[in-house]
Order: sequence, then structure tokens, then C-alpha cells
Amino acid sequence: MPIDTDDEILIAKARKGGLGAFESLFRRFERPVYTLGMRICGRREDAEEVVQETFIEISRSLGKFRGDGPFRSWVQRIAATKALMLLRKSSRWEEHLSYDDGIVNGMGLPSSGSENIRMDLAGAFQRLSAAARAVLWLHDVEGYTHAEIAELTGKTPSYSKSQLARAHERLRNLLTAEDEVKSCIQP
Amino acid sequence: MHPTLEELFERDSAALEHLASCAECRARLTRSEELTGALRALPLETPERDLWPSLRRRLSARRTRRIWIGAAAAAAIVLFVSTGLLLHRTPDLPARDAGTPAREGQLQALIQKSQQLETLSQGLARPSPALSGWKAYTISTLEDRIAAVDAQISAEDRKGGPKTELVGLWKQRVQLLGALVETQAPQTEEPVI
Repeated sequence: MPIDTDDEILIAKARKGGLGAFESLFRRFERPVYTLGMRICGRREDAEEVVQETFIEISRSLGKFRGDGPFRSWVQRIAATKALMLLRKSSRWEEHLSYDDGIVNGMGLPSSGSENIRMDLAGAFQRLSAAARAVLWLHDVEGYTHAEIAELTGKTPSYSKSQLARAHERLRNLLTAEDEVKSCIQP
Repeated sequence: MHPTLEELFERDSAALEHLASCAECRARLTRSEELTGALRALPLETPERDLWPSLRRRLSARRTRRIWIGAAAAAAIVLFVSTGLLLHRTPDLPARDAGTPAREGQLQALIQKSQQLETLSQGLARPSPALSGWKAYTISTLEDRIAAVDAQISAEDRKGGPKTELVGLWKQRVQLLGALVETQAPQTEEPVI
């Protein structure tokens, strides 16, 4: 996919030292980077750090961007690396779920409508373990392959596959549990 | 027995065969696909505060550090060039001493210095569009003057006349190259990023 023309112009200006152009790039990609930071790290302050570190890295490496792929993908890859580094630094990568792992068969779930899923999804997602969040987000939303996730996380593709399946089942169970609680408290 | 979700995700022949005959597992897979779609449809998060001012401060701090480093590098180069010139400077000799070992040694030292500066200049020179108009003009002028001196050196070599003229031309070349390196070294228009 060729690089977006607007991005190309801003990148060229930013490379020349244009602070205004760099701010425009920042404004354009700040929210996707922040969202990635929030999803993977789970905390606002960490997401803010991911944004800062990502754009500092972009400022250092902008000259290396060759434009043979979308700029957004390049930015998001830097952001993913920064988010994973932050998780490892804070030793949260290996944190475990606080809920019962025994309900992960994923069978017999009531079919939820899309609206219900969306309504509770963000909250349920944040209750996954850091590793599950990272793998699920990178694979399902950012479009990384298991091999790429393995490279980013320093784990194996098998680990990534296993985390993805477990994350799906856990997330489904969390959403189901929330549906059940809601049905109990409704008059 | 139902395969695990991980096995279903693989979609290998065994998983596909099972899916063809198991409505329950097809539903599991469909629900997972719905989940993926729902994750992708989540709205973007927005920071609670403007993150640009603090990023800008960090970028400016980096820029200041780089300017200081550039200035220090430039100072080092100036020192290098001037020391070299002083070391190789000899008192003016009478015009008729052409060909003496002293004059020949001075010439060789200047040629060597010129080569060193040439290498240094090539290492610094990068066709960056970030050069300011003034800087680009200065570099271009210096390069033109060096080319003119080169032409004179070639002409003098062809004539095979006294070395005094050549020494003077090589001195000029070294001085011009020194100025070129000095202009190239510090980034007067330092990219913010």
C-alpha cells in the first residue's frame, strides 16, 4: 500500500525540521497510539508514556522511514514495541487473571447481540492478563501474524496462538458473566 | 469430543472436517469472529490531557543537546584545522628556492592535510534538504572556489614551474576546505526531530 500523500508531505516537512509538521503528524496519530497503549498496558499513565516514547522514537527515526508501507503501520509498530517494553519493565507481562480460569471451555454461551458485546467489551478486555490483552489486540485489531507477535514479545508463535485462544475464551466468559449479572439485577 | 478454540483457529483439515459436522463449534468460531469485529469497532481512546506540550519540551531539550554537540564538534574541527595549518606553516621562502627539500616537504604536508579535510568533508556532506538557503549558498560558493583553485593547481602542475606557486595554491585549498568542513559540521537549521 503506498504512503498517504498528506502523510508524505508532513513527513517531508518534519524531516526538514518543521515542528508544525511534526505536531500535525502527532495530532494525526496520537489517538491510535494512545488507544494501543491503553489496550495493551491498561492504564492511562502508561498509555501516555507509550505516546511520548513512540513520538520521541519517531523523531529519532523518521529519516529511516522508507515509505514502502503505510506510515500508520510504521507508527503502530513502534507504539507496540514501546507498550510491550513498558509492560516488561513493570513486570506486568506475566500477571495472571484474577478470575476463575476454570470456566474457559467457551461452550454453551448465550449468543449476545453485537450491541451488548460492544457495550461491555472495553471493560472486559481490560480485565484480561497483560499478555492476553497484548496478543489479542495485536493479532485481531492491529493485524499482526503470530510470527510477528512472537518476534515482538520474545516468545514463540505457539505461545501467541495459545494466548489468543485463551484470550478469546476468557473474554467471552467475562462478557457472559456480565450479561448474567445484569439479568439478575434487572426488575 | 470438541476441539479447542486454538485448534479451531488453525483451520487445518481436522478442524475443518469437524466444523463441517458440528454446529456447536461453528457457533463458537462465529462468536469469536464477532468478538474480533467488535474489538475492531471499539472507538479510539482520547487522552485526558494534551500530551503535545510535554512532548514538545522533550523534543526541544533534545534539539538543544544536539546543537551543543554540533557546536562542540565544530570547535574541535576548527582547532584541528588551525593546528594543522600552524604545524605545517613555514616562513615564506625566497621565490628561487623551488625544488628544495623543505619546500617539497611543505607541499606534501599540505596535500596530505587537504586529503584529510576532503575525507572529513565527504563524511559530513549529505544532500539534505534541511540545509538553510544561506548554508547551501556558502557551501556552493566554497566548492566553486575550491574548483577554481584545483584548476590553477592543474595548470601549475602542467607548467612544471617553481613549487612556490603550488604551495600557495595548496594552502588556499586547505583553507577553503577547512571553511567548508566548518560550514558543513554544525546543523544551523537543526531538524527539531
